[in-house]
Amino acid sequence: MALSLRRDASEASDDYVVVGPDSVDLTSIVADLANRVKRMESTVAGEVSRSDQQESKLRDIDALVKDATAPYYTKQRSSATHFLDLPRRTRKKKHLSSFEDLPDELQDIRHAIVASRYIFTLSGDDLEEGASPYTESTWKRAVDFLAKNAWWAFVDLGCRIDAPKVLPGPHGSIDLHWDVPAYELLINIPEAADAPAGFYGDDRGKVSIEGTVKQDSVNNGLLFFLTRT
Amino acid sequence: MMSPWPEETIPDADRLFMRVHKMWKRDDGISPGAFQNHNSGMSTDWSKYSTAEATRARATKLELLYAVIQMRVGDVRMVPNQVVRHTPDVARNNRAHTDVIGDKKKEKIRVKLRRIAVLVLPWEP
Repeated sequence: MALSLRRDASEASDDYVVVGPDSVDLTSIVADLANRVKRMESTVAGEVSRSDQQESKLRDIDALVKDATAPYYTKQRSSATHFLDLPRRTRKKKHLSSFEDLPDELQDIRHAIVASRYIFTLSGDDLEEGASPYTESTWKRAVDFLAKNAWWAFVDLGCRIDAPKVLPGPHGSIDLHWDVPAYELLINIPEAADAPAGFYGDDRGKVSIEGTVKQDSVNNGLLFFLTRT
Repeated sequence: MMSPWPEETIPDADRLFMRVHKMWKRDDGISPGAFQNHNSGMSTDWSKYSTAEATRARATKLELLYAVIQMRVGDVRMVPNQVVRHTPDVARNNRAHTDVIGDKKKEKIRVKLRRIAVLVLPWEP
């Protein structure tokens, strides 16, 4: 069915009339079209409103993150928003390939790792009687675990974790040890590559965490503990 | 051979001395790795029959490689699953020898033992 618009014959009006075959109920068609237009206008208005709300929410989140006195959980911001705020060169490194790629903002972590290289060179009198030497592969797994979790806290949560001491542990393992006034946390990376890493931490009061994690994982529970203070 | 020294009960208030090799030294004290079992337990010396200096002198390697810490017996017993047992070592002529028996693989145990340890003879510079 073909319909067309024709300018009203009256010169005083800017209206158009719909012209079609006499057999067609034009009134109902026009009413249907009018309803569709109304629905479309409503949808567009809704989209505009949601966009405004999102912008407002992002501004509120931004203000909270910059407020140093706000509790931790209110500082969490969407990973996309925080990620886009990072400098371009940092954003390019979202997938960390090595601790050497840690950005300047995490140089404390990098320095702690570099300072621990001596561990896998210990030998002779530098080793306790009966102690087994430390391998570079165990050390590498330990520092990769540290770098990956530090990086994830920085990129995803917008937080910098304290730098631990990277130390020799029992039986060829490597310890990551945080001992600061607010808390203490010990994570042990075993010599066996397929064994889980064990950890214990507390705030020297009522809060403690304990358990095991995979050596190649990012653990949100540990990150929450490390960034809660 | 029957031991000339009987096994004794150690009071909570007494101290245990332990040698700590320099590989466990860190800037601000002792690494948690120092607290581990060797054979049946963690070897220490009972303060009733030893001093910190005597404990260091018993080192089989150069004694200057070692520092000595002390721990209060009662505090050691408060660490989960740790038992303090007087085990005189006749072969090494050490009546003071005492084992801290119990699993120390868990990180919690090493953290808590480190907290109660006090450095009494530091490493030589």
